[in-house]
Amino acid sequence: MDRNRPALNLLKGVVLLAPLLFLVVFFFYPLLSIFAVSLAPEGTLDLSGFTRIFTSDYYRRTFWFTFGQALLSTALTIGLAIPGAYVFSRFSFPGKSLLMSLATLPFVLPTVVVAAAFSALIGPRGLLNQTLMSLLGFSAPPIVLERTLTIILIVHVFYNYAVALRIISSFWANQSVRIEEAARVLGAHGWRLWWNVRLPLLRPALLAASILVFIFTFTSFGVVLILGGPRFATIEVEIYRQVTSLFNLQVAAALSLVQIGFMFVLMLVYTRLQRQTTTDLQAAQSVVRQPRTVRERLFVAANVVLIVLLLIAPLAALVLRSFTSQGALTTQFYTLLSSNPRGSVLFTPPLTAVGNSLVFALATTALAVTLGLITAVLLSSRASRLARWLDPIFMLPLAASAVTLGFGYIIALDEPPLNLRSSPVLIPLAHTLVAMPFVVRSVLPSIRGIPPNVRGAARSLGASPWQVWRWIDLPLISRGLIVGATFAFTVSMGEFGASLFIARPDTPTIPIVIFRLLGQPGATNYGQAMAMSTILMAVCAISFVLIERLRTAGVGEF
Amino acid sequence: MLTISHVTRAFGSLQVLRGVSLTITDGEIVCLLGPSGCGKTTLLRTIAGLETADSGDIQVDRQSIRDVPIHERDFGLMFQDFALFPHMNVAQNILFGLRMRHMPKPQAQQRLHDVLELVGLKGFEQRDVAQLSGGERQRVALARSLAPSPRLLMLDEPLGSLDAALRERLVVELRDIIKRIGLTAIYVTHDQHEAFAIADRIAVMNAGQIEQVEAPPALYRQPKTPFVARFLGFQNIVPVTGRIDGKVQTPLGVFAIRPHPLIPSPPGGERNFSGAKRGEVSLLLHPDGLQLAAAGDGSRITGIVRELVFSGDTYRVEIQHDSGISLSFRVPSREMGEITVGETVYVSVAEDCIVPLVKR
Repeated sequence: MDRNRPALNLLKGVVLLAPLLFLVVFFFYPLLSIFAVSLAPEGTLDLSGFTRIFTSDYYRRTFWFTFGQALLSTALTIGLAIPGAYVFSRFSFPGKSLLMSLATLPFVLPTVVVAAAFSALIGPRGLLNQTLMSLLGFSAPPIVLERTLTIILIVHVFYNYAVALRIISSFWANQSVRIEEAARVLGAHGWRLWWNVRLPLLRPALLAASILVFIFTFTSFGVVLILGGPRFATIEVEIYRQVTSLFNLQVAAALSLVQIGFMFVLMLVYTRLQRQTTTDLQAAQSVVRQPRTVRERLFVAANVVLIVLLLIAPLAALVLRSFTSQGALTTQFYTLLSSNPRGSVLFTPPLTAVGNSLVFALATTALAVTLGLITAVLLSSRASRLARWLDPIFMLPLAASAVTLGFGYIIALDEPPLNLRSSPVLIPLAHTLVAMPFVVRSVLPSIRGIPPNVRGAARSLGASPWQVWRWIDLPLISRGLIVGATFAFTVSMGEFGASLFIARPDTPTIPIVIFRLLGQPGATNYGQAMAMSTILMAVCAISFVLIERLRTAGVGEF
Repeated sequence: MLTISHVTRAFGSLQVLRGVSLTITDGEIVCLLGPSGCGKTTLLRTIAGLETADSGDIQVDRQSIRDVPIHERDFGLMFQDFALFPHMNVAQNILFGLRMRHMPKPQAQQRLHDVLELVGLKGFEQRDVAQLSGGERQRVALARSLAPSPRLLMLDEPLGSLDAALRERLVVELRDIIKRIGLTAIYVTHDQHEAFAIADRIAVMNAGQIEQVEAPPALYRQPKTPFVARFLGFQNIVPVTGRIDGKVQTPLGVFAIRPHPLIPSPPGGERNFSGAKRGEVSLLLHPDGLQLAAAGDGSRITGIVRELVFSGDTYRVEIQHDSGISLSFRVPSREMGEITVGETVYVSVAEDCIVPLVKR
């Protein structure tokens, strides 16, 4: 309609191109630098990085460990989530929705906080060991889980249980109970009902959930780095070590490349599957009822207890541990946060990190919301054939891990033409890349959800394109926008992998301070780590409540 | 008032409008009637400015509106899904068009009051649109498009999402409201009964073209093409095979027809009507003119009863002629004798109910 205003169209084009430009400069360029370093470090083709990682036993073990732990974590998570999902999709019980919300909370919790929480619960200096030692007189911590595969698996289940639970139970709840009833009438019962009817029907959801959990655990970084100790390393952790302790950029780049390739394939499979699960969903009547028999009640109770133990106990332990010192309640760890004692590993009082994180998070939110909104508008315009191409491209930053991103920044953005290495803007830039897909995903459904004729109706009532945007689109997507903004804020507050690479020593973020404090001996450092983690957890929990509120309320209104 | 000339529109390789021309006079309600995919909605959206014509022109009062953007066309548009703004209440929805025109507040409030009264929704101002019933939504949508006093009101299947009983009531009401304010309107529907009830003239569309434009009774009595006849639900269409002495020959016998400009008299008596164009001309035996007749009565069609369907006030009778052609018509229930399926019956055809059809 604006054929006659070429200047306006030009401006529109420039604005629409901004997210793409951002992606090119701050994602593809660092990524290409990794390619360059791994394939041709001196300008000529040199594959020695690859020969090293593929021939050495050490790296082979790293690959297998990464793959194996991801597989185990996925199997455990899905195995536990299936009964949980059954309970959530078939039975009603008191506190159900609260429990579902609580179970989803870990999704927004930073890895550092989760590592700290598990350390607070079952670590050598944790609540359980301390209690056992003082009650039963052990001289050493009786529960030794730190630096074992077990704790890595437990934490991975903690993280991903809710993801699997949500995917599976929503799929299940949308599936007609009539199918099951038909199978029952035809004579299926007990395990045959599960094996021949329920699980096969669930297959798309199970596959989607498995791949997602696998992706998450395959690229696990903070959990393995903090809780695994030097014995364990995923590819992600290995990249970090190669760069920071061994200065072996070529090997790190080769590892990154292998991981990116693998992730990309998994992402492709996942998006394919996701499209399937969403089209398969039909609004079917589902029957949710109270558990009747003793067996059913026990089944429900067991799952509730599991969720509480697995998900809530560590977080409660974290809070408790941050307020106790040698068995007594104290707030000293919180007050200590504002001081900068001599000999500390930090250059600044821990509390300044809170300020840093807030500034970075606000900058990230502003940038991610602006770029994400433009991207969502671009992707939602069905007219543009470009959209179909661009959609997966904008999701790519999720496929490349945060550590890879941070690594890419170090090798790409520390020399002309873009020398930002000493600039603090690197952090919000990296965070924006990680956060933008969340914004796009939050806004896109509400843009697409605007009934098609509403805009036409507004136009015919005399609204110009700009007025339609102002009075129709914007109010209708405001909820999605707030959800996206909250996501961006939370992601930035908790981001660990990329920040660890690029944060300046004098401007650390909260997760980095926690990581450094956890690595130090001494009850005070440990207590401060707990206190910082509690603060971060509180921030994320508040954001999470906001997200949940707006999201569920949004469903009812549109 | 509105002149559409030779408008074409293609989506990719699909030709949706193939040169549509139509003139609408002031205060007239014209209905675009046709099956889904015939291009009626695209034509409406093109007039509204939501689509752009590939070629052809649309004029309002002899001014082309090709380059007038939608929001400056001053047309009202009502959608099948009503497209009410979900984040606004009834009053805000209706006031939207007035706000866009910067109408002063007191005046706008007066207008709001007036249109709400017109559509019978007084007191609904603060209601949330999500809480309205289907009929109420339809009224709000109407009020919203009427509020800015548009030059032309366009309605795209405005009753399509409502149930049949409500539809029948609302269509009468809708015509009443439009006529009361003397608005020019274009009404799109695929439902002939709706079209008959609301329109001053009906334009039947098929495959991107207008087949026939006519006032509703004339359209019903005298469809001009086989498509129009079939779309109106008439089944008794018989092919014309030849022409004898000013009459036409069909498998059912010879029928006299009134002179028809598209059926020229062939030179030289009893010849085949036209070898090349055979099948292009056919006859509609309008079911209103078919009646059961007594045996042995002159120019009658003989057939075997194939189906008898009772539907209250009438029976639908279907008979089959020796040639294999079936005819269907209604007989008032109290005039039905002791007829059974398989019986041979005689059917008379009223002369003015023999309608020639010419394929476009």
